[in-house]
Amino acid sequence: MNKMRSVVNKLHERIDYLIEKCPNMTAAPYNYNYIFKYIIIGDMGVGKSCLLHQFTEKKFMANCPHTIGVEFGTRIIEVDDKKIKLQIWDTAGQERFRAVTRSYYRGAAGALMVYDITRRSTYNHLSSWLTDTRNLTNPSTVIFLIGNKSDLESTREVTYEEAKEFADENGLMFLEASAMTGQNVEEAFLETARKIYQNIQEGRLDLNASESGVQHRPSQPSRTSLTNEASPNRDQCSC
Amino acid sequence: MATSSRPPSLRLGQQDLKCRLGCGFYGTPQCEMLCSKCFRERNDKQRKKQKAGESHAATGSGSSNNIERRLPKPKPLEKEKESDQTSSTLPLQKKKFNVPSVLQKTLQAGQKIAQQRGYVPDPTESQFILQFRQLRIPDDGKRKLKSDIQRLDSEIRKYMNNYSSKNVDELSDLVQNTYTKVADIVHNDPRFEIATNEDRDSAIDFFEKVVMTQNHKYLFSPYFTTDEENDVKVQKRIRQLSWITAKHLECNIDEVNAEARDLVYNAISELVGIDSFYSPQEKLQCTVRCCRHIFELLKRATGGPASADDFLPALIFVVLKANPVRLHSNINFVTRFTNASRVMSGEGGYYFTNLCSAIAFIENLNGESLGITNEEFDAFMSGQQPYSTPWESALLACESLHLISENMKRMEVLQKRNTVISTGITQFEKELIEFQNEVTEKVDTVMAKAPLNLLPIKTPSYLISQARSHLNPENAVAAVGGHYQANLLSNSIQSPPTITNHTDSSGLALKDTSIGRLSPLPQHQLHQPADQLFASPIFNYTPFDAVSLLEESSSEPADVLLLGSEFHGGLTNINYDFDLSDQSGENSTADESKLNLDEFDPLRTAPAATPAPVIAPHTDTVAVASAATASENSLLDTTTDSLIDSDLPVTNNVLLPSPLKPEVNYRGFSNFDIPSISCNTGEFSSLEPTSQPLPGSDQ
Repeated sequence: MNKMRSVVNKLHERIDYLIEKCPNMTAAPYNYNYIFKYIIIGDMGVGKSCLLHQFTEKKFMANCPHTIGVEFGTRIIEVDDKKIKLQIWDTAGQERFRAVTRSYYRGAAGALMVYDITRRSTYNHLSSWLTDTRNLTNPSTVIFLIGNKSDLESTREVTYEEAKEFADENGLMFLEASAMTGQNVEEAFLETARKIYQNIQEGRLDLNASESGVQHRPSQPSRTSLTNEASPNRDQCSC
Repeated sequence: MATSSRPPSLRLGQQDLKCRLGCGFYGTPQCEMLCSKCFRERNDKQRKKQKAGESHAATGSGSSNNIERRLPKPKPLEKEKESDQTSSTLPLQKKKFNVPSVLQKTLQAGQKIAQQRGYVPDPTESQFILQFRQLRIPDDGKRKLKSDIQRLDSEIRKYMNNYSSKNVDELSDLVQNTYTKVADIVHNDPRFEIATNEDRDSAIDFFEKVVMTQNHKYLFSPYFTTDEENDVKVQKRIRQLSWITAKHLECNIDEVNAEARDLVYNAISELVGIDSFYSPQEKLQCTVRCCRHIFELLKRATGGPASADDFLPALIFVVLKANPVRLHSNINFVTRFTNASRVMSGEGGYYFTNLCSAIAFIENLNGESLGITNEEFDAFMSGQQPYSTPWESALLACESLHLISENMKRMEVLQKRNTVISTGITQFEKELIEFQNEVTEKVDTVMAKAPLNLLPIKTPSYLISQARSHLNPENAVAAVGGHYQANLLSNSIQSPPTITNHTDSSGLALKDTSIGRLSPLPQHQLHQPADQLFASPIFNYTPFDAVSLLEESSSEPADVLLLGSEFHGGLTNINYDFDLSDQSGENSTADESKLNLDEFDPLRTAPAATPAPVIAPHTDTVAVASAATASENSLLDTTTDSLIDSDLPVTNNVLLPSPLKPEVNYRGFSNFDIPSISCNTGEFSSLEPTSQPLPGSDQ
């Protein structure tokens, strides 16, 4: 089944490629093939908003105000020559807003779980964040663990090895990053996207599920994207 | 409050809100300050113009209506086919999804493959199926509703798949038209006849909810609109405006109060949650809940029902603090795709309109609208000027800053209270001093009016009673006492020195008076009654006491009567009995008295001896004192001797029947208790006349 899906996806890519080449299509304002939905979670003050800001604006936001509820950011990236729009929901870390932020878990294709390497407590809470994520997202959601503030080496409380072990045990991807210097921030977001994309290619992610967190070509009915529709699409395309 | 000239102010004038075309209805910023009807009409006109210019006149909004009319016929057939193909357990939602694909002739091939893949029913889908079953409308109506849902679904998808240029307003019109049609069908179609009005409404709601949830990803923030850009802009602006406090907005939110903050957080949570719902209805419900929280908050803050004037600033504050995600997209999604009647009327409509105006205010606000200068505003916005709002601090992890601001506030309150207390204290102090002065004044005046006079009467009575209490316990001595008093009476000679000392000591004076009472008796009555008196005291001590204590010296006659009446009983018994018994036991004092008596008179020796022994046991000192007095007596006696001597036979004769007299003399001296002394002195005044008569009579 998976094999078939991957074949279908590859076919589909080719169609997309053709569509993009098609001059009639250029008028359409969309310039991306996929939309991936991300959420960023983690304790308060670990730098979630700063990571997002660093990723979307390529700037470090000093004196970042506390996030209340949820914030939102987008950026278009490229994976395998595919333009992917990342819609990122940056959630508040406070317990008070857990109820609200939980409703944003659903339909996330990627979850960035952030802790602060200089505060052990934020690392200790990871398991509860992980439980939340596992319960509220679909099994195919990619979870990426980020140890933020790697620039503050002198006050480090959590070693890389320890966190790496935790990540491996739980099947998470892991990187240490710094929202201030921008080190590894880009990588973390891109790696997640790559992994999601890979899942799609391998047929592990069902694009049709309403909560998949991935939208393919908003201009096209997603239902068709996975189906064997090469010829009809070509027909539709006037080129 | 605010003038309409101020561009974005908290209070808008009526004119600002009206439709620009002057139709009298209210306009919204989303509709370029037109009312929704005028806006739609204008858009239609514009579109028609555009289409007229285009070569393919067949396509566009007109065609969609045609399709709508055409579609229903083939669809049921398709559906039947489909249901044959798929297993009966396939969820309804799947069909909904599939039908549009079926209708798109180009996609038929892929249909079967999609169905063959095991489809995991979505939680939302199964929920819809359940809700659909629960709808209380006839089956015919259900079928009709279902087909309508599917038709609209397919239309939306078709529109989205159409590669021609897209206009979200067209899409909105398409949906709104369908809503109107469905409403028309539900209310007028014979298939829905049996259903109640509520059921019909819920059917319409269900229709909207299903379609919108299923097509959320197409209709929400469509890529051909600028919604998302606006979202990001507003989000950034609100983030920049995080320094705004409730004070700037002149709203009644106490940012420091924990209770108020909780309510604000409730409102914020609702606002933030708007984006997590898919259907416009649910988003509206969130808005309504949020606004209700705000009203609750204002109610508590002002202590009464909140007015609309208070509401909008509070809502703006909440929106600013919440920074709801994808604000524009959500607002536009609701305005475009919810049933127009929902936004036009009712609580939801009202709150939604308020939310829209709050956002408009936030987008356009400047320093002027916050009551600060534009320079300040710019400084804040650029982040040059540092700020710390209680709200921000409340969100800090340790909440220490918040604690400080809370403490500051508490300190202020305490300071206020402290001043109140200190002023109260000073006032109280003043009052106390005044009170004290007043009291002392009053007391002084009263004192001046009634000066303290030490009346000699009062103390004697007390002392007498004390003396009596001394005497009373000794029953045997009672007789002696009687003798003693009699003795005192008889000893007129002793008194003179004490009588003169009335003022010297209260004790003496009092005794004098008390004796003075006694004295009248002998004075008024002649010797014989006096004899009775001498004898009586033995038994009459208690009644005598009461009288002396209760009554003043003025009530002499009463005393006399009382005394007189009671004396009669006891007289005879005592005198003789005691005299004899006492004589048997003799003491040193008795000797002394004897000596005196010897000197005095040979006749009296025998009876004189009797009192001494009884008295002696009382106290040694008394005995000594008695000795001293005895010596005095002897001297006195000697003076009188000359007189008495000559009259001796006479006096003896007179006194003979009562042998008390001689005995009394001795006892009196030996009995020298404190009261007894006084008695002596007092008696003299009374006795003097009695003693005088003796010599007088003699003469």
